[in-house]
Amino acid sequence: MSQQPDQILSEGQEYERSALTLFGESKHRNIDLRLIGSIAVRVRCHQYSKIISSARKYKDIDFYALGNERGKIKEMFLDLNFEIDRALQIALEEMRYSFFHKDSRLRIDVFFDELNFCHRLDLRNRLSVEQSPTIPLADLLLSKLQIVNLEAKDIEDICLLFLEHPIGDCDKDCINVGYISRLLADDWGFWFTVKQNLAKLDSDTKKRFQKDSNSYLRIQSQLATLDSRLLLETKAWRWIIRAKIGTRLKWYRTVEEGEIF
Amino acid sequence: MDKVPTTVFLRTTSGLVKSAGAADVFVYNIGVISIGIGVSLTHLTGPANYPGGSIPIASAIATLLMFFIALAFWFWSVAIPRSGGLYAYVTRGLNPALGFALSFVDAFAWLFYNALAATYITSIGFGPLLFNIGVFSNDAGLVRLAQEIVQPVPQFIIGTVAVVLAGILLITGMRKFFLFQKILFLIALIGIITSILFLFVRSNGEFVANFNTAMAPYIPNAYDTVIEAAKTKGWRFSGFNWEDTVKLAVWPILPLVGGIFSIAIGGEIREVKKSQGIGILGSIIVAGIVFVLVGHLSYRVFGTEFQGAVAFNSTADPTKSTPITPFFPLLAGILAGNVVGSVLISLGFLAWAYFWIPATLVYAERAVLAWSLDRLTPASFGYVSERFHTPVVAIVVTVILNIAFLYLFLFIPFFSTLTLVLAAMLAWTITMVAGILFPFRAKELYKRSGASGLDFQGFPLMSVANFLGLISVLILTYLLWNDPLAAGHSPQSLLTIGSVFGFGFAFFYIMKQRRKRQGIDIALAFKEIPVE
Repeated sequence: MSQQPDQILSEGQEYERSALTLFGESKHRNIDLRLIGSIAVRVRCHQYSKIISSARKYKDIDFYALGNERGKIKEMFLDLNFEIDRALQIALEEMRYSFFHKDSRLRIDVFFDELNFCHRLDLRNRLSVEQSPTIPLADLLLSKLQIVNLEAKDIEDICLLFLEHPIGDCDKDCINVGYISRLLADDWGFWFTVKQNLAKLDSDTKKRFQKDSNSYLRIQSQLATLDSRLLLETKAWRWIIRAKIGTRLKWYRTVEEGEIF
Repeated sequence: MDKVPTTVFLRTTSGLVKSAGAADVFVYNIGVISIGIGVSLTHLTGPANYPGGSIPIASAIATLLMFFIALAFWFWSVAIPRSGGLYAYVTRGLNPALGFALSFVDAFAWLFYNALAATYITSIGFGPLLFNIGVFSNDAGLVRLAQEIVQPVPQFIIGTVAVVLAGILLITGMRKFFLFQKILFLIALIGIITSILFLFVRSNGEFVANFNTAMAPYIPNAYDTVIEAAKTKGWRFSGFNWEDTVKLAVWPILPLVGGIFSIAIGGEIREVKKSQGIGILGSIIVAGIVFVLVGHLSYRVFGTEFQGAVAFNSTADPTKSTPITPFFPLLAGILAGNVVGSVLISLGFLAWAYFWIPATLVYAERAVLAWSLDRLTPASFGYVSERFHTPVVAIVVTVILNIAFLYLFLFIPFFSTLTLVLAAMLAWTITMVAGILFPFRAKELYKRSGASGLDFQGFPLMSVANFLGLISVLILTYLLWNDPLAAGHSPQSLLTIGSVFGFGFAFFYIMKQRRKRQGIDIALAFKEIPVE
């Protein structure tokens, strides 16, 4: 962390290296800190990382942790010469910490207990299903599929996950489709956003992989598997009632993006 | 200021899901307006002290004046969508020391008024509730309890409990606070709708009959006796006149002030332009309409002359008035004529009274936090509890101050006569001036703000709105200055405001020097938009 990050942290690999260093430090301190977001996707998708756009910029490193580890996490980052954003800590009532490295200004966000964006993803019981530097693959995928207005970088991340990992019914190096379909069968809004995003991916991949039919076919196959499992899963009564209302009622939360503060 | 490099002073964040939406902001503001307290105070003081004034017309004037003030604050909230209210605006828009001193006196004044709100829990809430249940169920014990509960000691005990509970609620977090406000709003809404329904369906004859029955143990033929007694003591109903109506407008406008309180939580509001628009402007318009409607209906049902006489007697000749202060919910409960109706009304007004307390604590607490984040107060003020994840110290400080003010207000005569609303007027006047100048003085910040998108052919509408707001504030200040009942300009009130304002200034410079010795230049913070 003592290097000059203005020069080296502009590259995704350097962000990844910093992220893994921090992950290693957390393991050393017996803290269950997991990567989320685009850096997490990079970490889990080395084989296909060549599809990542060369223009891709990374702004920060995102982590997930359990709320009961807040104290240890704060202590770790303060020890590593980071400072905490007290204002954000207060405004978000400690559901999220933001740290800035005092020298490099590298920004670290740590989200606690749940990822609460367009849709809520409670991960408190999910860390134990897989030992990895990141949250489980299914949750990593859902953290991208819950975004109502997908950007190119998000689509790229989803494609990476589909290319690199099989869809199956377990969490070990696999995207657990059973978990995803059960989760979404309880929440129509989340289900609807995911369905919309799968449709967007379907059309996007046609253009994106025009010259790479193998990748295109693999992603199409994964999309079809996921889509069919979402359709077949038995829906909860509240899913059915909410579905009757449909899009007449806003089905997602508004996320403030790129706000100046 | 416009030459400030933006990379230094502006930071970006993303993926924020803020806790307050348009409904939360609307409920927050209408809660601080407190339609119940507004109706109660206007109907108690208006007809008694401004006999020629029309409550509906005065309410319309008040709504119009407050609308322009609110519009100015809405522009501010869009330009600097951050928590801390006018502290953030004036420190960034005009002068840091002035901004802090104004915010200090503003928070002080509203915490003081929150003490007053704590007394309304009994005088507008529990008092009428117990009295009406006692009357309609022939329970003399409850009627006695209603009379006892509005005495200073029970008022202090109940008020303290109310403030402490509000503090505990805030410690549990803003999401729970917003949920609580919505539940409270539902109860309050039922109360005001029930009142309006009874005012619609009942006639003056029915009210007279109910009032005479309820008051039979105290005053025979009470309705007419009350009016006659007031006339004997010199009160006269003079018929409508504009002068009294304009003077009366200060009473509905004082609660309408609450419509801008969401400026304190600006950083926690999502889709700020829309949410603050609905919250600030919407709450004032809705409350204004209710004030006009209730004013019109109550004249028809209670009688214009009676309302003035019964309120006048409550101080001039208490034996010829109701056993407890004849606030609107007491009269509306009597009008209902049954336990269920009067309980619904009283609970609603109790909810309206309680609305003020946690919401005003939030207003002051957010100011304290904003000072702390700019390092103007000790860091401990911004301490976030590991257990509750909320700024417990700031909340506890405001709760303790509120209870201290409640004690002073109830038991120390000097404080019971204080009116500090002019402190808020001073703060607003300077905020409006800063708002007129902001697009020109802080061009870079203004250009990057949402407010610049509202310019009309290149001219900043924020300046126009703040100019109109300034005119309204000056009119209001003139009315308040010349009205000893609503505010006046007693030496003790002016001295208190001046002292608190001066203390704020001195405190700013002391902290600035202290931070300088610690190697921190706090002046840098005021060149950026305050953080979340």
